[in-house]
Parts: sequence; structure tokens; C-alpha cells
Amino acid sequence: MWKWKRKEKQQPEKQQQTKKQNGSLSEFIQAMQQSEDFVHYKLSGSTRCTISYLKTMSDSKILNRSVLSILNSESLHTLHDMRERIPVENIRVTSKLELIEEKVMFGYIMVQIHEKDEEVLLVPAVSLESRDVGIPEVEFSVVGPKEAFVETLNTNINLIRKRLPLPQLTVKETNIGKVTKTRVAVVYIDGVANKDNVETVEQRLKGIEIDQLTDSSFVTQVIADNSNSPFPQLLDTERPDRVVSNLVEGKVAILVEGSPHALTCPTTVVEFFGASDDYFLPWHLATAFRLIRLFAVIFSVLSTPLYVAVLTYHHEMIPGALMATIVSSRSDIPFPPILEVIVLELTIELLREAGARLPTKIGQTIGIVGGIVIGTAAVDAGLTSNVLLIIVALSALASFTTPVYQIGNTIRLIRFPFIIGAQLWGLIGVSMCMVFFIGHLIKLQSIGRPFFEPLYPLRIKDLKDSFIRLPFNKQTERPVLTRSEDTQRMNPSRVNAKRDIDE
Amino acid sequence: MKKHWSLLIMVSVVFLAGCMADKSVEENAIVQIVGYDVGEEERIRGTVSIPQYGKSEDKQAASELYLTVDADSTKDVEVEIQKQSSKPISIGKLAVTLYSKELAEKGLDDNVDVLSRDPRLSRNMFLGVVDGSAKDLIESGYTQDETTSKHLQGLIENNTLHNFPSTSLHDFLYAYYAQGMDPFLPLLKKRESFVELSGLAFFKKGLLVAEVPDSKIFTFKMLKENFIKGMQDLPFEGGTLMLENIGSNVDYSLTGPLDDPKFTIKVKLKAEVNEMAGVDRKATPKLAKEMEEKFVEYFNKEADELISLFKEKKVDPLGLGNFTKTRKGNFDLTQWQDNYSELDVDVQFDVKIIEYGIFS
Amino acid sequence: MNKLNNSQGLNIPENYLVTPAYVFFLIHSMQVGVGILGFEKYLVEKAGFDAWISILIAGGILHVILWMIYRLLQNGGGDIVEIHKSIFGKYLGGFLSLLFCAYFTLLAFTVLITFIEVIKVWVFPGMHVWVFAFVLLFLVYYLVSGGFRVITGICLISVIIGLPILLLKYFPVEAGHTMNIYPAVSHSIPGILGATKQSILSFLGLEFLLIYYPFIKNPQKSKKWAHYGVFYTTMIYLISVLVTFVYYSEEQLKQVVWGTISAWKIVEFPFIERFEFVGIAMWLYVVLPNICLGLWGATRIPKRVFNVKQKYMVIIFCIAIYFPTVLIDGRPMIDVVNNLSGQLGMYVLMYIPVLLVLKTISDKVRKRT
Repeated sequence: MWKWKRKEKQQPEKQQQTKKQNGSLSEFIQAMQQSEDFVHYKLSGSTRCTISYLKTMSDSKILNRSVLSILNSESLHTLHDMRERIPVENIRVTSKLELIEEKVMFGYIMVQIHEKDEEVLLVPAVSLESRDVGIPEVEFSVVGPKEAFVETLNTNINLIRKRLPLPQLTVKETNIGKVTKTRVAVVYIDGVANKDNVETVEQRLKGIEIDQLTDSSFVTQVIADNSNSPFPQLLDTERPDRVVSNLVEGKVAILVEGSPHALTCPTTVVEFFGASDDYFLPWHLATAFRLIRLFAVIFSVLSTPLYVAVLTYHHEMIPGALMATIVSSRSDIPFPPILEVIVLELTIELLREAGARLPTKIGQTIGIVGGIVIGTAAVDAGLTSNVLLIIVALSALASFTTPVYQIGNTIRLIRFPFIIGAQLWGLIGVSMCMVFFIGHLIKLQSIGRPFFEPLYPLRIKDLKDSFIRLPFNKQTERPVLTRSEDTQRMNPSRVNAKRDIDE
Repeated sequence: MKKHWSLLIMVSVVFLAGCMADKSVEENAIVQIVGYDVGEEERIRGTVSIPQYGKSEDKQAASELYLTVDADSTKDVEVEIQKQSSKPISIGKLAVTLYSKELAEKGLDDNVDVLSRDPRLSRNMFLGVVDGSAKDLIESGYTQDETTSKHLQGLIENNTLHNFPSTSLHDFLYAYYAQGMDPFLPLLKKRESFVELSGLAFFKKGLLVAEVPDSKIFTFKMLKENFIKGMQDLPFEGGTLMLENIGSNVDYSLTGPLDDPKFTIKVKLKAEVNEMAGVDRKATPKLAKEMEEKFVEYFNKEADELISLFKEKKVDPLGLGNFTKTRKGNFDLTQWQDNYSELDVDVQFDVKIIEYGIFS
Repeated sequence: MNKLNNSQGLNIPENYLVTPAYVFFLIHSMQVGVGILGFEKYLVEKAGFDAWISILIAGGILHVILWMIYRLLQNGGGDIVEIHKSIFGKYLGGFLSLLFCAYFTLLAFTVLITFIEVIKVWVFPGMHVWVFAFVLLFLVYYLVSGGFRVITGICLISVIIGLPILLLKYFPVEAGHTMNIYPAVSHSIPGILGATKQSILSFLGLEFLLIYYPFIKNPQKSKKWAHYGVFYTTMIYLISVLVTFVYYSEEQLKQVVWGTISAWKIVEFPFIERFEFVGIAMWLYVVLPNICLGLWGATRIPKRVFNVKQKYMVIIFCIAIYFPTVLIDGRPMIDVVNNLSGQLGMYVLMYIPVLLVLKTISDKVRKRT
């Protein structure tokens, strides 16, 4: 049933033909009447006509105040007269069955003069239930704007547009999903964003074959350059300000109806470790925090593998002063380090997963119970060493410092191959795992742009806003990554004009 | 699907075959100190101490296990000890190796070979010669809260920051293999309840040939290397002066042809006097001058004694030959050794006393 | 003109090309391999502490050879296969190209087995080589299958990771005897030349330019980067050799097989001791570009000569390398392979001037007719 509709969209020249083959408006009405919430009745006031709408989707205020009052008080005989008189914007008269179906499903009121007419009047009376714009919860920041995207596309675009009052800000919409027909918007600044990037995104979106699209993360997975990679190749964010700054850099944003997250691309792995806080703080502080975050990520991935490697194979590396501490903490443990580490890492993952599934308040309790009770009990029972408990807890903590939730998941999981590598060949195994991931990152692309940039390809200009963040007057150009059509952000000579003392 | 199966099989083979049978730290007997004595019937007696870490309440108390074996060679000691141990022996953390004086006088060449060959050994390990039996020295625990190895390691390390020159395994091997340079090691002696560094032992290759008591070591260290901490006392006008080094600098220079070289060793010493017991004069520049002269005289005498000892025993711990080799193109070792005892070495001291403490 | 030749000889799409500056990393990372961990011994055996002169001479010679390679490639249109074809014709030229293929494979193989030997001696005496080599070659395959750009990336990463290791040279210098460094030449010219030959052997690797040249965007501009690369390599080797001279006595160094690794032994931090384990593990990053670029170059030649798919060639070559790697064991056999690849490398370097002369002559003849 749905399949032909897609085809029809792709081949508009065949539209007439297919329409004849596949039923008429009355068949559509018949099909709809099987649902209880479809209202279809004849109006017999001053104007004689047939009104049909979905009562669950349409706003009864518009129907009563604007449509019925006019139709009952005035005598109107053509659809065009009605269009003139009814005080609702954007009313259409059409006979395209496809359009009618789509609009009625979204809550438009359909008015026919006669029941058999193919031509109808469509009055927009959409009533959408949506959440108010709230504060960002995943990417919270102490300073800076506190608005986050919601599930309505229009609100989300509104949040972007009010920050970017530019005629060049272009929004292109398509519907994706055989069943869900979700509205997907591609947003970019014309003249700043690279045409190729926009085209690639649009093409990829067009090529999506999927029945349902209930969240933006579906898009991330489907249009990713390498869908087998654990790394997300599009940056998702719930902060409009972050999207806006990305748009200004020349990136392309994708918004999906029903998803409170926007996607921006092309992105790099480094970008996942930058928070919007970094731009609200003085540059040295922001740089320091970024470096701390980077260190936290490295620590999180490597600490337990190094523990396994050193304790199993290279105990010569432990300094004499630490030797006593480590050996005595491990002296009664019945398991080899690898087993000890895997059990403890899995425990932490369990706690996290349980905490994430439960309501906030119970989640906290679980965290405390798990963390303190299980931890101390395991050490007291002699099942794990307290040194490892500290390391595992710290590395779990460190993995939560990443500002983007998606990459945090990746980091927690890529630790396991490293642990296995460490068990196989000690430090050399860890090193091999690292090479594998570096090679993988070098191979990865985000909509055709290198994902491991600015490290490889090495772009010194883009390094100014990656691991470190230089002051704004040092960043007078847009990132090379986006291949922006207008590379200058501002006039560098005016920004960096030198003034003498006392001038 | 087939591809996935073969991948799975490959991965499991790698895991099963790749893992090496290795024990984690606590399952090893980590030897941190080893001592060698002359055993019976031309054999070597090796003594090791293995710290026993337990999860006891008082981690302070360090218990140790001492094992002693007779073996045919240095490496054989490890084999023999393995026979007595419940855990695999690990010598990777070996921190101190001791030789009895008796053994050192017979030559340490075999042992040096093992030390330089084994990749697991640390180059920062300390070597030492024991005046007496190495076994006794290891087996008498000195402090409650430290293992013997840690105590001895600390003892040597601490003293190399003061009067003793640096004597790690690397320093020993450097001098041992170098042409025109001979190694030296600290001499340890066990007293009733403690152990002390009693001097330096000088080697000709692996053979102990000379000893110097600890009173002369300050002078030797000044000749050997630059250093900033150390103390030397000197009788002066019926009292005692204590000189504290706050920076000494040594400079070698070589003049004359290769068959008749002339060495000048210039030592510049900046010092502080912090004890003037029994000296009944005010600290004035004049007094300082007198003290400086006295010290120069004393150091000159000491240095001349040391160098004539080296010449007599034909050892070259200062590395004069090595120095010549880097400076002069066609260095001939045998010729150098023949001429060594008639070598012209001039030592010039320059002592500057710049402080007298906070009380005049 | 040259660009025209390029596009005629080999059509490589623009997004597979690398910018000229990467030639620096490609050349440098290919020149530095396992050799640098223990080359000092061979130098000192020949020229004692005067070996630093040999390194400078060798660096100079390599600059000349690099100049020749660029001359050859600029006039030659593309890579070594193209040059061979134009001088010797299809069959002889193809055969000579295949010799290069064998040489590149041997180079990759030598690096692989030497690295495995280092691991076996220093870290895991009882390691199962057949598993380790399998995983390592799988990794190599994964990287090589990513194409030239990925290999260039690995080269870049290896240089970046190599930098902090260089800082560790501070420890041996601090513990060493700086008075050993004194410019008094005591060895004869043959001795120094012998050491020069030895150092050229550890400098091998820039001849890979002959095969990846078409992958460089604006190749003329890469010339200066290539020279920087060789210069940087020379400096790194010079620094390494001077550090070992400071740290070891001359007679001692003659007996130390891996001078650099032994010098790592004294590196100590409050949280870590015995840095050689970390050093060897980090050295994987330095070794991998060697193996990857070696295999990539080796498999690209059959692709160019016979027009077979490089994808399959990489698998075949990995398997071909795998079995000898597992079978070879022990210092004597590895020394034989090392000497063999060194000799071959020497011949390849000597062959380049000959090729340049032949190329010039054949160009002149062609112009006349």
C-alpha cells in the first residue's frame, strides 16, 4: 500500500497514471472512516458542504471559531469563496489526492461542496502537542544560554533562526521514512557552507531507505560513512547555540521532527571533546579544561589496560615505593588481574546501565548502593584489590567528562579491546590496539571529510580550536575542514590592530 | 556468514594461543638483594632476600625470607634458589648486589658478564663490596619498617648525594669496559647493630686491588666529579673546622705529547664553614684566608697520596687514560699502562670560603 | 610539463593525493626503523667515537641521491615502473621493476623480524611468534588496505609519537660523561668510510619515493620537504649516536647490541621505572609505517606491471611474509637477512645514478629521432 507512494514521489511524471489506478478521494474517506476519530459530516446551514477531519489532530478552536462560524453565517457556494472568507492563513484548494491525504493526516480540515467532488478546501487547523523549551540536560553548562531543542521541528528552527537573523540561512525540508514520513530539515548558511557538503548531505538523506525515523540518531547511523564504526560520525547536540556556531563555521545541520537533537557535519573526533562552556570561559582556562578532558579520556581508555599489562607482564616497571602497596593489596586476590579488571569494569557498566534505566531518584540510590556497598564489600571479601577499585572508579568518572554523550559510550566500550590486548602481549598489545584505532580514525570520514582532522591531515590552522582554544582574535578564519566558501570570519587587520601605550 | 565464522575461529585461536603463561606480580618471588660469598670447594655462595608482602593489618612490619645456596656460577645461584622457592624467582627488581671482599679479591669478571648481559636487570642497581660476609650482612635485619634491600639501597643512594661518588651498575660497567679507566665500588661494613659505608674499593678490571677509607673520599669525589653537597673536617689551631661543600668544580686538562703527557686537574671549591669548635677567633676575612690555605694544603696532600696509591696499584679510577683517548688521536693502551706509574699529574685546589653560618 | 606526464602515466584521482609537506613524514618515518635502536654498535666497531663524521657524510650522500631521484622522476613521468618501461622496454623493464618489488618486500620483512626479535629478547622470551606475527600482519593489512593516504597518516602519527621519546635522551646525557665528545679524529679514512656505509644502511628508505611519487600533489614543491626529511633523519641519528657516546664508553658500546634500548633502562619517573618496556611498545608506531609502506610499495609494483588488483596482492604478500617470519629464529639468521637487505639496499642506491645516466641518454636519443 505504502510502497507505491514512494515511487510516485520519485517519478512525478507518472503521477496521473498511478492516481487513476489507485483509488479516489471517496475511497480514502471510506478507509478513514474505519477510525473512530475521523469526523465526516454534511453541514446544512447557510453553506452546504461536507466537512471531514481527524478530531484528534485538529484544533477544535479553529474549527469552531473560524470555519464553522463563517460557513454558518454566510452563504458560500464555491471553494474559492470560502478561501477568501475563512480567516485562517494558508488555506488551499486542491484536487491532488496525495496532498489531501497527507494534510488530513496532519490535522487539516477538509471541506467539500459535494461529497463526490475531487476538489477540496484544506484549512490548516493542526494542533500539535509539544513540550516547552527547557534547559539542556545532557549538555548542561553553568554559564551560557539555557535553551535546549524540543521535539517540534518548527520550534527548533525558530530557536536557530532567532540567533541567526540572516536571509542566507537556508532550510530545506524532505520527508523520510516509508511509514513515518518524518520531516527532516537541512539547515545551512548559503554562501558560507560548502556546496559539496550540502549536496552530499542532501543526497545521503534522499538515499535513505527506512520505514521509521523516530529520532535523529537514526539519521546518524544510516548516513554515516562507515556504519560499522563505534565512533559517531555526526555530532549531535541539544544546544541551539552550538548548532548556530557550527553553522557559522560553515557546517551543515540536520534537524528531525520529533527529535530534540540536531546533527551537525562534517565533524571531527576532536570536536566531540569540546564543550560549549569552552567558548564562555577565558581562552586559557578553556584550554586547560580541554586538556584536562583529553587527559581524562586517555586515562579512561588506558588505565585499566595498563594495570593488566604491568601487573601481568612488566612488574619491573613498578617503582620500588609502589611495589609494597600494589603487591600487598593484591596478595590475597584469587583471580589474575585480567579477570579482576573485567569483572570490575562490567560491574561499573551494570551500575551505569541500571542507573540510566531507572528514574532519577532511584538511580541515585542505586549508584550509592552499588558504588559504596559493592565496592567495599568486594575489597573486604578479597575479590578485588583496592588499588584497582580506585583506578576503575576514576576511569569511569573520567569517561563521563566528555561533553557529548555519544562519544562517552564509545570510550567506555573501546576500553575492552585494549584490556584484551594487554592480556595478550602486555604493553605491546596495548600499543597494537592503539595503532588499530588510530588507523581506523584515519580511515574514517564524516560526509566525505577526514574525521581525524586536524591531526591528519595535519592542519595547523584548525589546531587553534581543537585541543587548545586560542582567543577569538586569533581565530579570524573558518576551519579548513568545512572548506567554507567564505573563509574569513572577520577582518583580521581590524581585529589585531595594534595600539600603542596610552592611546 | 561464512566470513563471520572464520573470523570467530581466528579470534578464538589468537586468544587461546596468544596468552602467555605468566604470573602476576604477587605470585612472583621478587628478589631485591643478592649477596655473593666464597663458598666451599671453589663454589659461590649466594644469599637472597625476598620480601614477603602480606595483607596483614600492620603493613609496616616487613618480613623477609632469606635463602642461601651454594652454586657453581652466578647464574646457577638463580637455579639453585629456584629449587627452594614456592614461587618463580624474578630478578627484575634487583636493587642491590653485594660481593664479599674475599670474592672480589678473586675477581668478579664472571659476575660482571651476567650483569651486563641480562636484559631484565636495572642499570640503576647498586653494587657494593662487603668487608666480611655478605650473607651475614643481608640476614641481619636492621630496621623494623624497611626491608634490607630498601635500607641498603637508601644507604648507598643517600651517600652518593653526599661524600661518596656515584656507583651504579652502569657506572661500574662503563669503567669496567672502558680503556684507560677502572671501576670502584663502595665498601660496606657491618657493625654490631648497623651497617656503614666504610670506604671505597678500587678494581683493576674485575679484581679488587686497593681500598681507601672514608676519610679520603671527599677528596676523591672532588677529583672525580662536580658535586654540591659533602662535608670534610680538618684540625685547625687546636680546634676542628667543618667544611661544607656548596659547589665544587673539577676540570681536567692535558698538555704535552702522548708519550709524555702532563695532566693538570683544577678543582674549584666554594664552601661554607659551619663548625669552628675550639677555634677561639672571630670569623674575619683574614681568618678565612688562613683557613683556605690550610684546606688547600690539606687537599693537596690528600690528593697526592691518592694519586700515588693509584699509580702504585696501577689503577685509574679517575679515567685519565680514557680522557687521553678522547683528546689524542692515536692512543695506545699498552703504552699508556706502561707509562702510567710515571705519569705527571698536577692537582691544583682553589678553595673559597664564602659563608660561616648565621653566627659569628 | 611534469604534471602532464604524471597524468598521462598514472591517473590518480585528486582525493588520493597527499600534499607536498607529507613527503617529509613519509621519508623520515621510512628511514627511521628498528635500525636506530642498535646501529651505534656497528658504527663504533668501524670508526670508534669518530662515527659522528660518518653520519654527516652519509647524510650528505643521501641528499645527493635524493636529488638524483627527483631528477629521474621529474623527467621520467611517474614512477619507477614507468621509467623502467621507457628505458628498457616492456619485458626487461618489468623484470627490473619486479626486482624492486622483491627488495621492498625484503625491507618490510627485515623490519618485521628484527622488531619481533627485539620483543623476544627484551620483553617476552617465550612469545608465540606465529600468533603475534599473524595479528601484526593483520593490522598491517588493515592499514595498507586503507590506501596511501592512511599510510601517510600512520607515518605522521609515528613522527609525532617519536618526538617525546626523543626527549628521553636527556636521562642518559645527564648520567653520562660529556667529556667523551671531543672533535679529535683518530680513525683512518677507510674506517670512517666503512662506518659511512653502515650508516647509509640504517638510512635506507628514501628510495620508496620512486614508487609513491605520483601520489604527491605538486611534486616539485615536495622537493624541499624531502630534503628536510633527510636532514631531520640525519640529525636524529646524529643525536642518538652522540647520546650513546656520552652514555657508554667506547669499548662498552662495541658490546652493547641495542644501545638505545639499553639507555632507556635508566629512565625513571616517580610512577614508572624501566622505561625500555614502554619504549619498545611505543616503537611499534615507528616500525609499522616501515612495514606498511614497504608492503604497499611492493604490492603496487605488480599492480602497475601486470595490472592485477592490489587488494589481493597485499593478502598474498602478507601470507608470503608470514611463513618465513614464523620460521626464522635466532640472531644468526636475522643477521643474515639484515645483511642481505642492507647489501641489496646498497645496490639499489648505486643503481639510481646509473638509471639517471641511462635515462638522460635515452631521452637524448629519442629527441634526435
